[in-house]
Amino acid sequence: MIARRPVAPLILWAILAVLGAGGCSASAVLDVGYPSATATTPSMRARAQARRVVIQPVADQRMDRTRIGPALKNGQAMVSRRPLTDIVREALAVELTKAGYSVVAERGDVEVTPEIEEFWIDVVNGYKTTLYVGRVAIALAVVDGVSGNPVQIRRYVATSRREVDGASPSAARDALEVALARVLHDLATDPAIPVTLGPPSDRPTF
Amino acid sequence: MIVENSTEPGRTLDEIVKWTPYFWLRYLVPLVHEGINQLVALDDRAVAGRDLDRVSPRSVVGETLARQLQASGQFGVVQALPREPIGEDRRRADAFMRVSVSRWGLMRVREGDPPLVSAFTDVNAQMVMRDTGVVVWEIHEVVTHPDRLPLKTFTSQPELARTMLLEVLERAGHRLGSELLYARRSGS
Repeated sequence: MIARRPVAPLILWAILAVLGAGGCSASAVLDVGYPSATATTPSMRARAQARRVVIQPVADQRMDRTRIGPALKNGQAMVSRRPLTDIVREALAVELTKAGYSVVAERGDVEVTPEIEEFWIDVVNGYKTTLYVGRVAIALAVVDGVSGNPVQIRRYVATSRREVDGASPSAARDALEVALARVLHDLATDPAIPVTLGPPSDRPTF
Repeated sequence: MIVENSTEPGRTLDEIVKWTPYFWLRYLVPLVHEGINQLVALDDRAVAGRDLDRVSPRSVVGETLARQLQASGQFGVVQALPREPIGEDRRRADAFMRVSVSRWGLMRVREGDPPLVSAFTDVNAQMVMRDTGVVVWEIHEVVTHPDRLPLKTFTSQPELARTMLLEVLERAGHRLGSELLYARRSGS
């Protein structure tokens, strides 16, 4: 992604017809993480600044919690260097903070419980290339911090592909990190999140 | 298109050529490998894609993107057009978002018996300011449908292939929208 300058609110036209229609890694341990930025827009901060959010311990609901990818030819399991629960918690805290929420340890206005439903890298060996397909699925259960009533459950799933010559642990890691970033970007731009994490008066009644 | 990511017949041909005096043939093996795989995929492609003649990938991606940007409330008016605007339409716009779909189809995403395939697409987008022509944002995204099924399922149910392919194009439009909104939010 290349982003060169902020774009003020504007009238945007989408033009569709212009440009033309166009292995196995040597190491079994992947150093997966979440690259973060710090800037936020004033409007997002203003909307969220009064809300305190508690992030409950991340629940690991994966079917196989012992690894993040298929067994390698040497029999090693593909695993993450750091616990996935820590990676996801930190990533979520980064995004909530960027959006202007105060992430607190207790007595929050709302409590969120993230669940890792999938965090997996598939490896498809081709003739000369290796395709890595990262897939991350995370659910976010939101509970009112005062009443304890459930507010909403949001689910986010993203995949990412990387095709490289030969085998590449860094490509596998990149595929997973991009999938995780996509999940967090979807969450950060989800119009339901400000409502869900906002005061009860903002929430729709059914 | 159907992308198989198969090791065969390339590796077998490599082994054969290695034991012949015609060592220079090894340079032709990748071409033969690609050609054979494309020929094998022809039938599957014809069957799985037989309902896709009237689908415009760019339109599906662009319309989904336009809907998402409009729903975000961060833009005054977002309109999807099939071509470059001219005249008053062009003068009224502050910026253009140009979208292209470089490829789309089915791709093998998991090894096994049977291997599993997903719908996929690769898309590009860039935002250009009308008055200066400056590109203020651009992105290339590879998008894969989260559902994975044997290729045979797609060829036996072409309507399913159509549904999955349309869904992955919509996901690509949504992906572009999310990344643009995220970049704006981050002030980059």
